[in-house]
Amino acid sequence: MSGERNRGLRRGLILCAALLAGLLGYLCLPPYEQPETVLDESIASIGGPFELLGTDGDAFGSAELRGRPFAIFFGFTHCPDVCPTTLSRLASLRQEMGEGGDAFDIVFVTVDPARDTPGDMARYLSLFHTPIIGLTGSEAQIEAVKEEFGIYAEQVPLGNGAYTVDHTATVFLMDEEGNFFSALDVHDRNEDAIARLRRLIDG
Amino acid sequence: MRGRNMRIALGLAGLIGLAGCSQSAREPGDFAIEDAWARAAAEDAPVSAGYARIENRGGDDRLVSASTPVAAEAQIHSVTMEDGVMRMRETEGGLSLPGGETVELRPGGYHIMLMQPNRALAEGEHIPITLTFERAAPVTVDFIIRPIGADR
Ligand SMILES: [Cu+2]
Repeated sequence: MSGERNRGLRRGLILCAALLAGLLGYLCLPPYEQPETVLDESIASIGGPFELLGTDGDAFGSAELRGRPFAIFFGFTHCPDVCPTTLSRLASLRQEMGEGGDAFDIVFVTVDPARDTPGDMARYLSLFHTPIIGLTGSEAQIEAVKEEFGIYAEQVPLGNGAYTVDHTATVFLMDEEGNFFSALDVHDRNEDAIARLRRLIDG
Repeated sequence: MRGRNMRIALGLAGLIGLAGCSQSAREPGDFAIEDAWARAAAEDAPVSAGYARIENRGGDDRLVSASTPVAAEAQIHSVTMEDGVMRMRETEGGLSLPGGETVELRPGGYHIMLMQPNRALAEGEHIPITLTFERAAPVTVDFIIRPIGADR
């Protein structure tokens, strides 16, 4: 009984010490690091082969992206805020880069295949004034590609039968072999984002 | 230039308001709504979103709903981004507009979600959106349509 309690106490102490060490370690870290150095193994394993549908309704496989780096983003056409601003940011980064800006593809994959038909994707993407590869597919195909890229997505009702989809909104930069290179997020400054895109292209 | 004139006009209006009223409690309905815009939408697009800066120079109020003839429904939404995950929710009980403060509806924060627009919304055109408040009388505001990916 008391031995058990001692064990519990010891375990508690060890846990406290570990937490304290973790906290100290965290506090001693430089306040801001280049995102690449923060990315861990699980993020580095992002990506993989996929079979989806292009905006023309034909099969589109990851093999068609080989040979060129790409920026890939998951969203849906019923997303009125973060999805269009992110896609348009990629478009304007591409434009700001000037020469070389067209050396990477922009890929938009829906997390809402039940509603986003190839035609919906085409109409939506036509408003961004830059070529964007739009991809949808069967529920199973989308599940598979989400899994490969570690995308969280969950439907949430909005009333009147409508729904939204909570989802990972990180942009993944993939090299010309389809391997993970880096990520972009909404908080990155433009010059940092451009520098990373340049490294991706020059890779 | 227009913006400056507008500010001067608003300032004058504010001064006149100050001089003219000495009641202790501020009346609802004294809003300055500026920079109202909404996203372009393709034909048959499922959604658009409207944004604006709402300065409440009156007493505490709430934006409780919105409507527009160009969409089947309008809802007041918040967007949050946490650990790289985007979440959009309908605001519960609308959006608080404290007296004397400015609340901004902007990308990545609050928006008026326009659901099922009944036509394409083209850059440069204006659409009316009626804002309904808890206390003040409804106001109809012209929202200019900006590119789909505009961030302000
Ligand atoms: Cu919304």
